[in-house]
This record gives sequence, C-alpha cells and structure tokens, in this order.
Amino acid sequence: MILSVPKHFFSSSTMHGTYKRHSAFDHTLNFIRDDALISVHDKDRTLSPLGIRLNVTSQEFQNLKQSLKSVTIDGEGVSMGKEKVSYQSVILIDHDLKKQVKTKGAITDAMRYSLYHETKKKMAAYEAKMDTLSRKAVDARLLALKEALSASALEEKVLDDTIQALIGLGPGLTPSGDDILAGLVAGLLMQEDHSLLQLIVPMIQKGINTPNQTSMVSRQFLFYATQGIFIGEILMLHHRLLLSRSIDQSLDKIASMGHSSGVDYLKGLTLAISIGGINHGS
Amino acid sequence: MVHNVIKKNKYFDSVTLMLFSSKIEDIKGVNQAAVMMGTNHNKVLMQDSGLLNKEQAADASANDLIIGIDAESQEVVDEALKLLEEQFSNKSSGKEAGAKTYKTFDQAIKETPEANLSVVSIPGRFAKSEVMKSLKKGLHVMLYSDNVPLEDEIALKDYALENDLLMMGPDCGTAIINGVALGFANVVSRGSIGLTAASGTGLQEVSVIVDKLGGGISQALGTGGRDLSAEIEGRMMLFTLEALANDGATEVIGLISKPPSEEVMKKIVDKAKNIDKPIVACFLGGDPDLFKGTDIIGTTTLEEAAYALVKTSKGEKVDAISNSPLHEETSGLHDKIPASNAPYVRGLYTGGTLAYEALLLLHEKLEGVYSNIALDKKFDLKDLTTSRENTILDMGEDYFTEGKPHPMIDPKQRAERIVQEANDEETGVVLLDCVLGHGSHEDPAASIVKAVKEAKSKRSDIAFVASVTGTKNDPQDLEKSQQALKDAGVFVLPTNRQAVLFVLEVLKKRGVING
Repeated sequence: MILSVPKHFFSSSTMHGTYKRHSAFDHTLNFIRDDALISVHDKDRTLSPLGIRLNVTSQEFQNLKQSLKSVTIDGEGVSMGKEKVSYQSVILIDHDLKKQVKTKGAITDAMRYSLYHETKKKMAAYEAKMDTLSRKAVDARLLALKEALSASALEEKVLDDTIQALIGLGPGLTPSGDDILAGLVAGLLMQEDHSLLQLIVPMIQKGINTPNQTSMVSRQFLFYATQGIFIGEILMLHHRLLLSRSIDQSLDKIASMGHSSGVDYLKGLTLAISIGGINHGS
Repeated sequence: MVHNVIKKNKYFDSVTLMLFSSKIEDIKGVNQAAVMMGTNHNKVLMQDSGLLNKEQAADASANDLIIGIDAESQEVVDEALKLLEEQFSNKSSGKEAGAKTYKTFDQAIKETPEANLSVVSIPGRFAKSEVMKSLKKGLHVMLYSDNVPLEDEIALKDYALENDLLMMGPDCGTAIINGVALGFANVVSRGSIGLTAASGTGLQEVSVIVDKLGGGISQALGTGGRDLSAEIEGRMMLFTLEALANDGATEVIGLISKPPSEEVMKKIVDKAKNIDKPIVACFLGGDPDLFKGTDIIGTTTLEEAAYALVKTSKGEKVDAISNSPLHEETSGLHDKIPASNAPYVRGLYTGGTLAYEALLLLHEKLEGVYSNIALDKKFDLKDLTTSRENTILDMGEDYFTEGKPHPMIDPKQRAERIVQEANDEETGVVLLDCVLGHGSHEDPAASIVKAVKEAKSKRSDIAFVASVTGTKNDPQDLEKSQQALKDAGVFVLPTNRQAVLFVLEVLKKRGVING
C-alpha cells in the first residue's frame, strides 16, 4: 500500500520512532512525535518532504483514515497498522536540494536572470489570495526584509528582527511569511550563496523553535528548508534550469500550490535572486 | 464588543477563510472580522486590529483557528457565529446534499458513465490536457478558465469540431443546457429561443429580458470571449449556430458578442444563409448596417436583441423598442432626481458586458468616458483606484480580482467603491448593475443598499441608478432585490440599457448635457 517515502526518513536517526495520530484533512493524515510531524497522503498528492504516499485513491483513503492510528519509522522501514515495509521495497524520494546543487551545480548568472524575470511574470499571473489585513502586514514585512538584505552594510540584528517578524505571519496552515522564507532559502541555495545562508538559517531555526511562532506543519516545512530539503517542484525547477529547459510549467506548478503558498514561495525565490544573484552576488 | 472563538486543530484554506471573514463582515452590525491560524504574529495582528482579546489569545496555539468578531451587540455576534457554524459544517462535509466529489477525472467518469458534459476550471496553462481528456471520452466541455494559450484553444476546438462536440470557452462563465444552468446563469423559462454568445453577462441580460417579456430559452451556449477573433475564426460560434439550427426545441436564434473580425463576420453571414430559422444578432458596438442585405436582424443593445427575439418567436414583426412592455416611462421619476452641481457619472459594474454596453451608450452622448475597458486608448484609466471625470469600471477585470473573489461572488469591493465615489465631490451619478442567478452572491442588492445608505449619509445629491439582471425564479428573489434598492432611494430600471438612458436624462435635467 505504501507507494513512496521521503529518503531522509530513513537516513536520519532523529526521525526514527513512533508517531501518533494528530489531525486529519481530506487527503492527509498528520502524525506527531514530540515536535516532529510526518504526513500520510493519498496517491494524488504532490511530493512533499513531510509525506508518505499511499497507493490508494482519495476515495479509498477516506475509509483508511479511520483505522490508521500510528506510524513507526526505523532504519529498516515503515510500519503502519498491520503493514510493515522495508525501505528497499518502496520508492525513496530524495528531496535534498543541497545535495542536488552539490552534484549538478549552482545556477549561472544567465539562469538567474531568466529565473528572476520569468518568476516575476508568473507572480503577476498568480496573485496570492489573502485578506487585506494579512496582505498589508505581509507586504510591509517582506519589504523590511528586502531592505535589510539590500543594505550596503548588512546589520545582523536588523536582519534577524525582519526574519522573526515574518515567521508564522499570514493566513493558511503554512503562513505566508514561512513560505516566503522557505523560497528565500531555496533561491540562495540554488545560487550557492553560502555567506547569506550561514546568516539566515540559524535565524530561521531560532524562530521556529520559539513556541507557537508557527503551526506545526509549517514549522516542519521550514525546518526541512533549513536542512536543504524541499518539495519536488523546487527540485524540478533547479533541474530544468540547469538543463536550459523551459521552466514555465515548473513555475506554474509552484505558483498554483495552495491558495497563497506557491506565490509566497516565488516571492522568496525572487528576493533571493535579486539579492544574491543580481545585486549582491554577481 | 469583540468576541472570539478558538477552534482547536482546525484548518481551512485561505480563500475559504477569506470568504468566511467577508460573509461575517456583511452582517449588519459587524464592524470587522477575521479568521486566522493562531500563530504569535497573527495573534498580535488581530490584537492590534482590535479583533482578539488578550485572555483568548493566551488560549490559542499556532495549530488552532481563531475567529475574531467585532460587533455592535451580542445578538449580532450570535448571528455571525450561527452563520459561521453553517459555513464550517458545509465545508467539513465538503459537498452539497446529493453531490459526489472525485479526486481524479478518471474516477469521476468511471462512476458517472451517463455524464456527457464536463465543466473545467483549473489554471489556464494546464487546461489543455484536462479538456482533451474530456473530449476524448466524448464529453462536451464548458471551460471556465482564462489565460489559455491561443494555440491550445485552437487545438481543442478543432478536436471538438472533428468529433461533433461543444467546446464552450475558454473564459466561458455562463450556459444553460436543456434547462440546466451552468456557472453564472439565471432561472429562466424554457422556450423556443436559442442563444449563442461570446459574452457572459450579455447572455444573462438577454436571457433574463426574454424571460421577462414572456419568452423562453431552449439553449444558451457560450463560445468563449475570443471565439470571434481573427485567430479563432469563430469556430465555436459557427458550430453552435449549426447546433441550434438542428435543435428541435429552437425556433429563433440569437447571437451576442462584441463585433467579430471581418473574415469571421463573412463566415457567419454565409452560415446564416443556409439556416432557415430567424436569426437576431447583437454585436455590441458594431455597425448595425453590418447585416444589410442579409436575413439577419441586427440590433445594437442587449435589450433590443431580447425584444426582437421574443417578437420573432411569436411570429410578430419587430417594432420600435419603445413599444416593449418593459419600456418604463421615466417622466414620473424626474421630480425625484436630486439637484446637484456635481457633473460626472461613475459606473461601477460587476458584469463585464453590461459595463461595455453602458460605455457604448454613454460614449455617444458624453465627450469621453474613462474606463479600464475604454473604447479609445485616449480614455484608458491609468490609476484604477481613482475615477476620473466620467468613468465606467468593469470590476470583474484582473486588477480588481487579483487575490479577491469576482465581485459577482463577493460584492464587498464594489460596495467600498460606491462609498469612495460618494466622497468625491465631482460624483453626480452612480450607475450600478445587480446580477442575480446561480453562481452570484446570495444577496447582491443588500450589499448595494448598505453602501448607498452610507454614501447618502454624506451626500444626498447623488443620483444612484441601477438595473437588476434577474428573474422571479432566481434564488435571490428579483422583486425583493428591486424593492430593497428602491427603498434605499436607488432609481431602479428594468434593463441595463434603460438605466444608462436614465442616467443621460439625469444629466440633461441638471444641465450637464444638452437636451
């Protein structure tokens, strides 16, 4: 029944243990162990670093939802109810962008230019849907982050304040501020802008470790982002950029994620390119 | 007073939450409302906006949903909470009674083999493969999405035509097939008039007027807004014309669109020559002489098209529109027109074709009308946040719908604009549409009434003029909507055309234009 499992579930022993059922949504069941969260999805869901995908349709998933109470992961495999599978017998998905950059390379200046302009165009077509109260707050703090990153003499305290101000801000299960920061990290990683990453990653980690700063699901996504682990669409975007293939569809797929998440991701990505790739790094 | 509810471990997507907030804010007596996840920053944001009590904030964690309502009384809060619970339970059940949902197209088609039409609404760039799946299964398609590449539209329509299937769209929001309303459509009587249109609210206005005049609709088909362009060559308009010609229930055919390209026009006229049913055409803004020497009855407004269709369907000769039973003598209203020195008209439309028709009619009499759909580039309204001189806005256009629901679904933005226009001392007349029917907001008139009352409290000299596109059988209740508007002091005319003409009468009476 288990179709695919993120590879890092097995490679990192900190992931191992039994996860208890936490919450249920239409296509997803969440399980938690201490502060860590994993998800179980039906087969139509896109690849997520949080998620085990089952080989069941959404209809079949509705029946299953009642019976799944816990999930256990160890170095050998995954146990779910009566089923136990070894990691050799399931598809392992590698979500590690850091490793992908290491082996395939960082994007070039020409690729940065193309990514920046195509992403800008795409964002105009897919505006994030948000209420006015949140939009004003998110836009103001995104601008502050941009100014902090663009300052000729970068002040760490100011940068930290602007990052903390974004974590957990905005509507949705993964608040807009978190998606922007995840996109920023992805963009910096694609350009191998290690100097900025070394500054920013500990700041994000500090933010997500503050109680109630963000939702559990978003906290987990952001934690993975700081480890270089991202959703499948981001990996595909990097891959296609390096092959000089059209990135139009990849950007469409990212932009249409959730109701504001995808566009917020792209906002972070363009911020990283404009700072690290156009003004700062080249 | 501020009231909070914390829903533990509850989550809905942001658009749903946005609509929840908006519905609550529409309740009379609610000052503001928000529904958000309880992260630290969101809690501060809500507290700063006066929507979250300190004590309640302490109870909410980042995985909880916080509802904040600032209302005038406990009764209003209770009403809002009741509405919210209804919304939550609707969303949780995920479907209306009797409806089934499927995650994939394949599953849907497997479990409903009797279906012969699919409605597709996904981002335009991905539409081609999904629509093609439907067409290959032999289903007719209504494609709601816009931003579909031109070459995709051509490929899909060509495949549909080869297989004798309808491919309505892209950007097709309205259709009535065998009496079933799809998208934004009104509950109209069945009858012998078949319509094909490249315009959504144009189709709604014509079908509604036909209904009011005692006629009925056999089929109302959409072709998509670009169909009559030189690139698409009227593929679906020509096909639907033939389909209506072969439809046993259709005796008279109506065509509604902006003017086609010259080549497409020629093709339509050639096709019409081989159809032995009467055809009425309304190519808004087109030259009425386009049809000289053909059997097509040319009209210039949506109301005239509907009138000609009904007369023809009854076997009667089409006479002057002033003979229409819907024609309202407005001389009795003249005494009620408030005096004003403010010279300009501000048209705030939720329906694109209705805005376009207003623009055409005003353009004839006024020296220039600024708009986001201007007839002349010279009158493009650059800053859409502020009206300039005479202005007509199509508030369903991208600028107004980015990140927000269409104003026919959520009229809040238009209501805010009504109040904004009243704050401009140059605004003398505000012209409005009010579109009822399936798909539209459950009470668009109430939103207008609330805004007009607020506007009138500041400016008693503005004339508010509106028409209601709806029928007595629409879910929103036409009569109630019209009465609510009249009670609020709005001049309510039976059609958009008559509303615009009345606006010109107001300007004449005030000496802004010559009689």
